[in-house]
Amino acid sequence: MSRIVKEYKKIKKVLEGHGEAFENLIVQLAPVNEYDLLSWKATIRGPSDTPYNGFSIGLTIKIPSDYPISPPMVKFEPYKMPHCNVNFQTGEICLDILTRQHWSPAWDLLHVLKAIEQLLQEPVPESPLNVDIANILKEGDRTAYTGLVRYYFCGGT
Amino acid sequence: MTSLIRSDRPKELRLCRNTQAKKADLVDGMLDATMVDELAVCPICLDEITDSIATLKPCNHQFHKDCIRKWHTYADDLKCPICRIESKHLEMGYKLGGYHKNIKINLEKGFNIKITIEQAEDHSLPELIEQFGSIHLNNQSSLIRDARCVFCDICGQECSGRDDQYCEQCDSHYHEECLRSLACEVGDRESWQQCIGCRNLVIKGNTRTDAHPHLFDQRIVREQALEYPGNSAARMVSASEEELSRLLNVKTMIQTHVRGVLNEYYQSGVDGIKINKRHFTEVNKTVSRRLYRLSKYRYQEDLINYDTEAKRQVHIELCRLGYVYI
Ligand SMILES: [Zn+2]
Ligand SMILES: [Zn+2]
Ligand SMILES: [Zn+2]
Ligand SMILES: [Zn+2]
Ligand SMILES: [Zn+2]
Repeated sequence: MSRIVKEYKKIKKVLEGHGEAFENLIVQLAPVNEYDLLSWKATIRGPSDTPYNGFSIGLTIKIPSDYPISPPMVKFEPYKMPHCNVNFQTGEICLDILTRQHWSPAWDLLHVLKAIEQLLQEPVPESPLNVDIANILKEGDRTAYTGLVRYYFCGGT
Repeated sequence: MTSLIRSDRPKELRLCRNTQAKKADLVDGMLDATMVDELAVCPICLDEITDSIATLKPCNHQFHKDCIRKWHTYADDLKCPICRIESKHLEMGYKLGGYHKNIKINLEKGFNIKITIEQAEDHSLPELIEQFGSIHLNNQSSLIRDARCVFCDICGQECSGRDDQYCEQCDSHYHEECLRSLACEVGDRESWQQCIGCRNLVIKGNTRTDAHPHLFDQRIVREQALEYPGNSAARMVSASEEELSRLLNVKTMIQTHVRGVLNEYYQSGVDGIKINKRHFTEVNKTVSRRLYRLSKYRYQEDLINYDTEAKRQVHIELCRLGYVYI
């Protein structure tokens, strides 16, 4: 049985049952359809104490054929994600554990979502993909940050 | 890059700068939380480990032999996938004639050869031969011996001297000195040449430099030692000049397909993507290497559609580099 099939079973178990660690984070994590485990979608809750609090955030995950030797490809999709380490147009995420050099085959999709949650809690404006938000963060203007994020979430472009 | 792992140092080929976040233990801690009820499970394939257990040393994390070897072939370093501690040896258990034996493989040695070979991949044949002149190109067994560490069954120290003794029956190794002092201790000097495991007579066998056919005829040793990190490295180094030139030829043919795909991206652009010279080289290297491995070091045009595969792989790599298809 391939690794992703096993992982799917494990994820189902964790999400259904005693997955306290993920209860506050994951709304949904499942393959787009049951017959193709190489294409997944996820919905996570914006963490409290961040401007994302109260919003649901969508992600798409592509599993490469040599997974878990190669890392999964994760993007914020279909909705645009205002975050200093996310490309606003493409949804691409600047997160090192998703790169070839830093990925570990012992990690799974739950780790990946946890790492993304952490990125939402602790943005890193020093390596930005969204310069506007990075600048606001560097100036320490929390109100402007929250305002801008909420503006985008409520339909601004 | 945003980093979640404290032990990771910045490397070359970065798209953005490496920054280290605080909650570094998060990722490590998670594993325990989710895998607590599945202890005997290989962390790479998530299948149970029933046989062919491979243990990384010094951290003692366990994997299927095949899974961890595959990862080592792919990875840029020897860090354990779970704890990120640099591995030095790989210990593998196997059965030989009813005896349980451990074989240790020196990962560092094999890995250094792999790195050198990979860096040399773009060099010409004469350059390569010059570079590896010191390694016996024709002598597979010397390489196997170099990568394999044998430990004395009495003192547990590595056997590497000329006076090592070997038991064919149960594949045990001893320092001659250890056998002699043990015999002396038990007051039976004459029997020092008996294996302490099976009482068979030991034979003199320098595991490092003598060609001891029985050592290398053992299928397991051969198979497992050949598969130390950088399979391609083992192949290259152990190959004859003729074989080497064949391998390089395979590489050139594979690269032709990859270059063909990349040329389009470079010259006219594909689906709105035009790449620069640096990305051309970078992706060419990654994809060619991957196809080379996928081909099992042969040009298999009848089995692999190299153009399609190259296109697919280039696409994946470009996505990783942040290019966006329209
Ligand atoms: Zn495994
Ligand atoms: Zn470990
Ligand atoms: Zn000894
Ligand atoms: Zn000794
Ligand atoms: Zn014996």
